[in-house]
Amino acid sequence: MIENLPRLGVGLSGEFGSASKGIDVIGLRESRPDLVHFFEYGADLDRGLDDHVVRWASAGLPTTYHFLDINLAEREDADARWLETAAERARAIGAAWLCGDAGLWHFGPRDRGHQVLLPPVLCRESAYETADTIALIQEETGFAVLPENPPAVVYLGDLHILDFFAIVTERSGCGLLLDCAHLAIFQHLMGHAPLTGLDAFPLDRVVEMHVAGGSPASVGGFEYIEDSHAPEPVPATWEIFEYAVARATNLRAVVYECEYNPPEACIPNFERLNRAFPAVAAQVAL
Amino acid sequence: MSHHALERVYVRMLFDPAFVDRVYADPRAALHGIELTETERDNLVAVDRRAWGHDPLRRYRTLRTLSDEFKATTTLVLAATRSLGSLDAFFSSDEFHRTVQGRGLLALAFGDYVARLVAERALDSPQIPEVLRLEAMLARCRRELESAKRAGARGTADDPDARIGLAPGHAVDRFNANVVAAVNVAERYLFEVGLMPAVALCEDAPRLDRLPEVSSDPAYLLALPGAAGVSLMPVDADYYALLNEFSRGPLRRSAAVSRTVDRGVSREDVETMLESLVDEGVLAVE
Repeated sequence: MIENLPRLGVGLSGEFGSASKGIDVIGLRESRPDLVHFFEYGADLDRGLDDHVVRWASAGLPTTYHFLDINLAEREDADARWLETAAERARAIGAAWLCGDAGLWHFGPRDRGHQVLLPPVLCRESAYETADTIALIQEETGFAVLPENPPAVVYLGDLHILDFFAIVTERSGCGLLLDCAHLAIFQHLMGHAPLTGLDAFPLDRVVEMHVAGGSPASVGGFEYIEDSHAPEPVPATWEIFEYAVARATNLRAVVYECEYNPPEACIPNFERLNRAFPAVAAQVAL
Repeated sequence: MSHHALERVYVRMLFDPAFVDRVYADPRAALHGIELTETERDNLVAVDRRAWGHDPLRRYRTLRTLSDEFKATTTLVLAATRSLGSLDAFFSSDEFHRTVQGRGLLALAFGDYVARLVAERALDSPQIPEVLRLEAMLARCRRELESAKRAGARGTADDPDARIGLAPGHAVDRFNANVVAAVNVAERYLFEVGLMPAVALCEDAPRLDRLPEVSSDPAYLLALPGAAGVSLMPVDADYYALLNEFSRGPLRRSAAVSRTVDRGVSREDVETMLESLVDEGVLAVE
């Protein structure tokens, strides 16, 4: 399935209303068409599509649908209403695929006050359930689903997060979204070097990568990297990105998650990402 | 599926530092009755305990979301207790922990918690129990409406054997005649302080007006879905007598008619009301 996915190039993330508070992707595209080639729209059933993504899609520009409300690690969460509505909206904006953090976007039912972003328990049983949920969504919606390694300050389970996702792709056959910033957070928390585990990771299954800024944070002397989406990625994120981009033979898209920053603060990194993952092939594919 | 049990413990520990203390002090005792392996219990306490508290605004943020549905209740409770801690303690309550571990609905658990708080602390605000009952009814209706499955009618309203019930998102109850006036007092106060939240710092800030007395006269209120969510409509005593027959679930038409007639409503009126309520979608024929 992943071999047939289109090459999109470098894109920007966004969500409902983000264009009015941060980077206007349409404006950025108009001023610098060489930097942003697709828009990854973060969506949930409650808020749906905003005018901005509709305008972007109406111009025939590529999108992906990043879900913010499905617990891939919980099979029963993939109910008929979510499957129908998410697929309908993804089709409405011409999304190339569905993607998003694999874990828990809410605890218990999808309801007010239940929102949270937690990683899956890093064990084999949870990886199997995640894979089975992905297979179900792919079958029911017709879209490829790319699970993303989520950020956290606490991870539970006995597997390295890369081993968890290796099991997921092996069992479901899905592509993967490697978030380099989230992996840097995990490696830092666990006391690992940035590239630990990548040598055995199936990078040929990676279809999309994310790069985002992080900020050092601490609570009571406990130090961690906050997934702040500030403009500047931490050095470990770049190290992971550079390693993976050279080896991800099926890579189709790179997203710079920076939508709430001033555009001028993000231009140099957009330029760097485009140098690493050139847009030429993307333009041909489009 | 102990990884799901572990995920729910994870959520509880993120919200409740007192629970974290209990788990670290004696994992077996604190997690008694939860399907976890020894390894999973060890895994929990192997985490740097400071990490659980990395988001100090989590409880407040969630309380704000819950308060959206219990606006008047929370306002009256805070006015009576003068303590944010009285509501914040929900996240350390049995209602909270049972609901998260049991995959229940947080809003309904919050309503239960506030009911207990009001009863145990004998708060000097006699309108609170009625206001809470009203807002809890609306919260239940919203969820019922959202989870309603579209099902075609299989009978007709004039079939005596047809089973009839309140349509999803509808409920009826008897309150004191001043309950809506009490809600309005709270909402007016919230509107005034919401204009400029910093007035909370001022001694001459807007204050909650005096609440109307609890009336001995009844108000019969029907919750029903509208364009802006679930709203309220007053109904007369006869309509209440009929609708209330369906509050515990669907009934045969003939049973609903005879029971309402037994309450002193004329058969002709009952037949007319039934027909109009079905026509308007308040009652649904199974």
